Amino acid sequence: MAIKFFGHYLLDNNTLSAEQLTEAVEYQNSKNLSLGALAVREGMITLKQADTINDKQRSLDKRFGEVSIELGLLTDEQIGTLLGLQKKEKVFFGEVLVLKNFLTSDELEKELKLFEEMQKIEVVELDDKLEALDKDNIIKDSIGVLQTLYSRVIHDHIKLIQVNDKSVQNEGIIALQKMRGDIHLDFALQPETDVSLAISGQFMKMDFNEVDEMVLDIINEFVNVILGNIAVKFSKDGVKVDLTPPQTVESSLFNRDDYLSFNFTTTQGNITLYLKI
Amino acid sequence: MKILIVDDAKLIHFVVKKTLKENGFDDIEFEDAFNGIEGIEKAKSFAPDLILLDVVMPEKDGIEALKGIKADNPNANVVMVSSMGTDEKVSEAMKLGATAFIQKPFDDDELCAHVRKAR
Repeated sequence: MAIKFFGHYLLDNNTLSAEQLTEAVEYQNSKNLSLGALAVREGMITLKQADTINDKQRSLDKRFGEVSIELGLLTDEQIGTLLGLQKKEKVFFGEVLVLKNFLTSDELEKELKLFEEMQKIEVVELDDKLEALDKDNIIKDSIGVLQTLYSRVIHDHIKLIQVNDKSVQNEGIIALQKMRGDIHLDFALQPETDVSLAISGQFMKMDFNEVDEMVLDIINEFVNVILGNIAVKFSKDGVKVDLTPPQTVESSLFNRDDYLSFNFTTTQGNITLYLKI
Repeated sequence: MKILIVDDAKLIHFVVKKTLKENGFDDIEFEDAFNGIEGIEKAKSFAPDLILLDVVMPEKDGIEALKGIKADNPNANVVMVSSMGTDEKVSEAMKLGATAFIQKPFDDDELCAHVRKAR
């Protein structure tokens, strides 16, 4: 079973119509403004300057705050004010449903409880240093979704055994996919060959003896499914992201030093997850 | 019945065909497309009864492809099949005229139910 967003779950249950879902999402979008839109509304920059920052942000693959400071259009302090406003004004999806009379508060509470029970993701604990780094729960959510989907799809046990141990260098292909938007996350997975073959076997219900083009395709799709579901998890907090298509990277061309690494053990062998936030 | 599968992952084409065959759908004629541009072209030339359309794809993504498919044929029956089932994407797709949104990894029953509905 996939990880669904609350609105998608209500749509599938016929609790919400497609029209109501669209209305609620549009209302939420009109309230949850981007940093650029907020900066224009607050008179800090013009619409034209916001467009310039957005264009540069896309071409340089950087965040809005970074680019606007580099261009001298906003200060650190102004970005702080805008982030504070963004947080204060944020409207949650459930609130919109009640506001629009699509659900009563009691119905919302009941549906949320059922939904959360159904979508339960494994709870991950990190050491203090990583915990401090992981203020937005990006690491915890990524690991939680990976473990949950690996167990559900591959029907195998998976356990985190080492964090950031650079001496661990697994063999095997690397599938890399990038998330862009409110969160920038590079997500790469390196299953050992036996694990890649086992994942492929489970996906296709047939035996694989070597890493061929189909296995590469399967591992890329596996990463795509995991990262898509992570995006769904993030979007519950009003975060807007998009994904680039996944790609296979030569192990020798992959710069591990840029990434946090997480080594997992499974019945079939080890998997390393690389995250760059 | 004719089904067009639009997904950059070859395995999805394989899995969809295998799943439907194992569930007794023997009379389906399939066509494959591996990106959004190809999807729009084949939706026109193949005239399928159902289009299974991924969202995250190279060249042209699924949302852009859906716009193109619907512009050519407003009655096209399109079911999105993607891991990117955020409310925003689901709502955008439904607004553009998609019939449903299947979240990957999908259950066999869910896929079969949508194919049955399209018959």
